[in-house]
Amino acid sequence: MSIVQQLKKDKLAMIGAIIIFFLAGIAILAPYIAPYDAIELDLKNRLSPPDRNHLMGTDNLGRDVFSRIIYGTRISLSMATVVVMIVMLLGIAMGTIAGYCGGTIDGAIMRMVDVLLAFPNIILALVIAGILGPSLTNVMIALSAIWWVGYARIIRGSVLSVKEKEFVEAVRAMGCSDASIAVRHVLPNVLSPVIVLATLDMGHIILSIAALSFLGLGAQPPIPEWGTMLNEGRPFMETAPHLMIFPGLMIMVVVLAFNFLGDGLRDALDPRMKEVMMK
Amino acid sequence: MTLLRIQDLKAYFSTGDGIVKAVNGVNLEIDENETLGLIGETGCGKTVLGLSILRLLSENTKVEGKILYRGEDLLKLNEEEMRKIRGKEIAMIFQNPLTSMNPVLTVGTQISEPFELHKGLKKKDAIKKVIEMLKLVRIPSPSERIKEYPHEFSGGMRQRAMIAMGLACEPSLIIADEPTKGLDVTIQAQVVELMKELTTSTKTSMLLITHDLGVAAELCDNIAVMYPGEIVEYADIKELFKNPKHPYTQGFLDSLPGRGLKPMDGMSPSLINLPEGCKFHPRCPFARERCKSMRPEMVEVGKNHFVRCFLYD
Repeated sequence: MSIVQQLKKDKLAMIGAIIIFFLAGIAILAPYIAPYDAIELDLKNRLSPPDRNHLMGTDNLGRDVFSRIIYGTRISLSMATVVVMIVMLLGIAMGTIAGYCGGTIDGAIMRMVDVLLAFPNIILALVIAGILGPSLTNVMIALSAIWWVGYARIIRGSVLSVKEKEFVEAVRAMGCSDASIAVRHVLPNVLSPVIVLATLDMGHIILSIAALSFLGLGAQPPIPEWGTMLNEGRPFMETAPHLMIFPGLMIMVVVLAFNFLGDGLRDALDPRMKEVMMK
Repeated sequence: MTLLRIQDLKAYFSTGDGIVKAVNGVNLEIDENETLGLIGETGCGKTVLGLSILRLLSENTKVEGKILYRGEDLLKLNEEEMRKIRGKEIAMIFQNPLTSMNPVLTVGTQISEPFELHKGLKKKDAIKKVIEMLKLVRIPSPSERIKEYPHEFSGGMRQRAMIAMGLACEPSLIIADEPTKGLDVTIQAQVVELMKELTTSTKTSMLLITHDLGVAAELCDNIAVMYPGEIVEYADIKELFKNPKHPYTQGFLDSLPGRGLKPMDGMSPSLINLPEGCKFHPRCPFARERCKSMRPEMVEVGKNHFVRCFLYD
């Protein structure tokens, strides 16, 4: 049974996938969907609760929350995608080098990974973002710098087991170079856990970006990032709760959707795991 | 003409338990167009010998001696030069067709690799060659089959595909390490038939590593019998079956179903703790005092028939 067929049977995964596609559509079409400009002020209309004109109300500067959420989708999804791409590339490269070369190189890379893993992710990201100064780019750099370690570990482990397989010896006997064995023959065999991890991490990274932005290290006002919006809405939490409810809900929905899809993918890509769990 | 000459080859690896002497002073020659069978029981160093020719042993293995391929010592080549030998001059067919193919690449991609590597063909031309090769090893409708993955092939087809991959660049020598292992008897016969046909028609030499005397009898011109790390008897195939000299060879042949199914006493020794003197003396019915301390040399007992035993001194 193909992976797609298996995924189709998994209702939660399908819900996740549908939400993600829907949000991706919104992100791409943001300028056409958003009823108002995301950063245009309307000081006459401050802190108005959700009504017909402003579906999610307006914030303390009279900006339309619904439009800001839509643009925020764009920012969160694209940033998380870029970060996941970077950490995947970095992690796969480091993990493959460590696993395939072994010895000192392996030791050096894996000790670095151990050190990075010893810190709580978000705190290390906080430090890096703090040093580099608050901006979206710096948050992305900070997250990429620490997030690759998980990928490196997974890839290294799988590479270690795959490189002992007989077919690797067979292609070496054919005259393949080490580099081409690693890239053409070993890598395709170890990618499936990474796909699962990347899907799950999309959610985590969106959450981390929002968290860092909430703390003031990420997107700076007036950029409509969800975490920044939460931060800006905080002083008005009691009088205008919609300023925090909607960005918070969006973050939750996105993270949940990616988790559903990631779990579904894991079951689909690793049937053995499922059997074990059924028993 | 001699294609490959192995001189005093030793391959040792150190493990936690001691030094494993897998190959211990082997001398062998393979002529052009010759098929040499290397037989012996499991764990006697046959596979290590095969792998050491292509220098595929892990880096902690100590390999000494000379492996002269067309006069050039393979043990002195650097990695780059060695890669040009592998697959192009000397190809290897591995023992387990079920695990010797990459599960995530299509059969076509895998077989086209030697063409791209050694002949510098473009993917498209390489695929044409692959289809030709698969036709040669009689895989039905090859142009569709190349798009399939190894798990969609049966065991026999996979081994035939491996043979196609081995023969792809028209190597002068093929090292076939138990090519029929894990296949059932009818498929074995097909594979043997095919290998015989292909090596004859392409004039390829072959070193056939096996413990299956039936396969060896079918394919080989000469046979070398290996007993822990050493060649104990060398003869042409008819002579060996008719007139085995070494007590081990005699025991080996007597253990065949057609010849009485007599089991040999004892176990083959561990490669870490090899006995002194003749390696076979603890199991040998003719062992004398001398066998326990001195290592016998190869002596010629007939035309093209050598044996390592004091009985024929």
